[in-house]
Amino acid sequence: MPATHRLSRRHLLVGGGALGAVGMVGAVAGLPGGGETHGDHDASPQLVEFHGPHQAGIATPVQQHLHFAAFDVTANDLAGLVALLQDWTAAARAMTANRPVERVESARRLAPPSDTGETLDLHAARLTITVGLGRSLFDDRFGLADRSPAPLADLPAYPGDVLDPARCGGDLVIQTCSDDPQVAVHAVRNLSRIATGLAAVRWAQLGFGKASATDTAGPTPRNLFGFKDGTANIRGDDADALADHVWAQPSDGSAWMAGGSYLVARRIRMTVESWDRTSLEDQERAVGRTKDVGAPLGAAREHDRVRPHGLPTDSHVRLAHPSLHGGVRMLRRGFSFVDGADELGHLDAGLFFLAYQRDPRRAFVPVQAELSRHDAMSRYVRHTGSSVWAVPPGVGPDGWWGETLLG
Amino acid sequence: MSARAVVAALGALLLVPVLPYAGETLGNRTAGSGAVHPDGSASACPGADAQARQQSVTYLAHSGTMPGRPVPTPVALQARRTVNKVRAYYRDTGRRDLGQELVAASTCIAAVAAADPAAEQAIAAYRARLRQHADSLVPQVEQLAASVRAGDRGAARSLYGAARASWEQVRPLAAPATDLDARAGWDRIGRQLRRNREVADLAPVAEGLVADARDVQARVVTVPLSVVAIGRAAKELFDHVPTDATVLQAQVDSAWTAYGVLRALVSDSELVTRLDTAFAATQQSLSAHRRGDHPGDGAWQRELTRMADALAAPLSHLAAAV
Repeated sequence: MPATHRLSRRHLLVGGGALGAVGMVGAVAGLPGGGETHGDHDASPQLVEFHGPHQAGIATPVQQHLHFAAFDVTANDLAGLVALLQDWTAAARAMTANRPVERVESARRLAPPSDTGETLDLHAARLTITVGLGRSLFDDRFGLADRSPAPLADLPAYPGDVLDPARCGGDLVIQTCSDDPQVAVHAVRNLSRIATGLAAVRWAQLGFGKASATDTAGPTPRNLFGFKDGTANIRGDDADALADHVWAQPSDGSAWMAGGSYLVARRIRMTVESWDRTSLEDQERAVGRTKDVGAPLGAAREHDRVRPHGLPTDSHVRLAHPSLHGGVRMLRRGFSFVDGADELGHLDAGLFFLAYQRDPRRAFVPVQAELSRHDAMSRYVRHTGSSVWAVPPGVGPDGWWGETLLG
Repeated sequence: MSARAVVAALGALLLVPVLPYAGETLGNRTAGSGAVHPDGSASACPGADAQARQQSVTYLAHSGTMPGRPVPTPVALQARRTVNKVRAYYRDTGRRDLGQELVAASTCIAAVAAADPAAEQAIAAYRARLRQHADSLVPQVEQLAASVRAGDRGAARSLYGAARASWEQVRPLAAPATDLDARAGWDRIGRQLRRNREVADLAPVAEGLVADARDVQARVVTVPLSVVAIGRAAKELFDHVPTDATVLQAQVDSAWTAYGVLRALVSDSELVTRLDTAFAATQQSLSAHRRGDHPGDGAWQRELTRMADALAAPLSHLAAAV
């Protein structure tokens, strides 16, 4: 297939010409604003640039599939943690450029192969790999006890939380997103393999069918309630909103986090059976938007202005509206999930809510306080998993994840 | 396969300076092809004439062989594979038209390549260690079976740990089918004992373990071995998730036996460091947790699995480094 050959060759150039690529990325990153957008604009829509001032997988367009894995670090010293993050960065750099993972020591037939192989004939499909650090990493194991950034605070308990400890917390997280689920899974699989002896998976979540978008291509995605989600989400090209609400700024304290972000991940189980028995009118009143076009109630079109005070007082859109929270916004990047059926025969389904923000204490925490108490939708949801992550800034061609903290 | 292909393979074996790594499957954990004596000695070489012998020695001298370490295992494997091809060709066609010189030379290469004193020593040491364990195992498992048959849980529990440890030591020599069955049997009895449940109805399972133990005791003397097979065995011990600390300890001890005899042959010093560290760390964690006398809950099971994974990862590179 000629198209495949052409693409593969380009990937080979991107991967193989490391020095050339370094120069190019450096040049682009050096332009004013040039580093603000990720993505390979070189007519290679399969690749998302790994390097940049911010990690890919936040403001870059949302893909169709997610594999999210939290790890406990089992290494008992800083050197082990640094080695892990360096190895991970090298592997992620390769995989996001559509190259297999390479480890010199296993280029032998009697040793296990360096890459597990299930993506050798696939394209990266916009693979992004994003790493985050959990609050528990900042203890005395690695001498980081006094380095924890203030926004990385534990979340308060909310009414309606039924958190499963086995789905909460962790020292490190890997978020892999791709339009091909096999590519996303391959990335987590190989990173956890590389981590063996230094970190071990604590819990993981698969997601599909992006439940919100950061670009305007195509219709607004729908979550498993069947409603459009993220109509007013922060767009990946809205540099002002990103700077105000998503990227940690040097003035925020913890200078090593500048250019990074904070991620709140919540596994929100939806009781879809109850929801599906709910009348259309009640569904729309709970959301605050119409189901078909997603218009605010009382308006005609999806992007008509939301007038929160005209919406039902317990509607989700009203309670979460920025005007009620001092203008604060989050960049949502969640995915739907269905983990089979529960022991009752109900779908174990819901939204794996992922929201990037500059400071959860001023964004997720107050918004969720409001929603958990008053939201009509909370009758149909249960929060079963929770975690908060400090997502460090992006890396340059020679850099590694966490370098600003540990380097 | 045509005669031309076989001759080409032999020619490549003799003339190409760098051989690709052989793709030969060694079966589960044995490396015998018949061309080389099970212990890897060169006794299978008498038919080779002087010229062929000289050819093979010259070849070995130019094939990346290191002073004092003449063990290009891949070369030996390639040679064995070629000999197998020749034999298959003879068997399938009934013909004997290949150059005898080449056949003899390749046989000799296989033998000489395998006739590394250090490797032979490692193999002999491994066999001796396993022989001791097999000799301990048989009475241990006979006593265990007797107490199971009698429904004496207390006695069975006190015998299980040592017997299981001996079994894990000799497991690398069990026939593949025996290994699978035995593992299930050992785990079943172990589970019943941990839960303090009735064991008498497991008497047939225990009898099966006795038979397996006797089988291994017989095999330990004759089974073909190679350093690669020993390296592979160390990794395979951990293919099965340990069910409790006793089993993990037995797996670690067994892997240590294999690594111990190979350690001096490992060409990759970084791997030696990694393995030394991993063994020490695993043993430290195991000892610490043992003192804590953990319940067999999910968290502890996860901890055991992490320990096993952490040791198995570097062990998976051992076979390639000897």
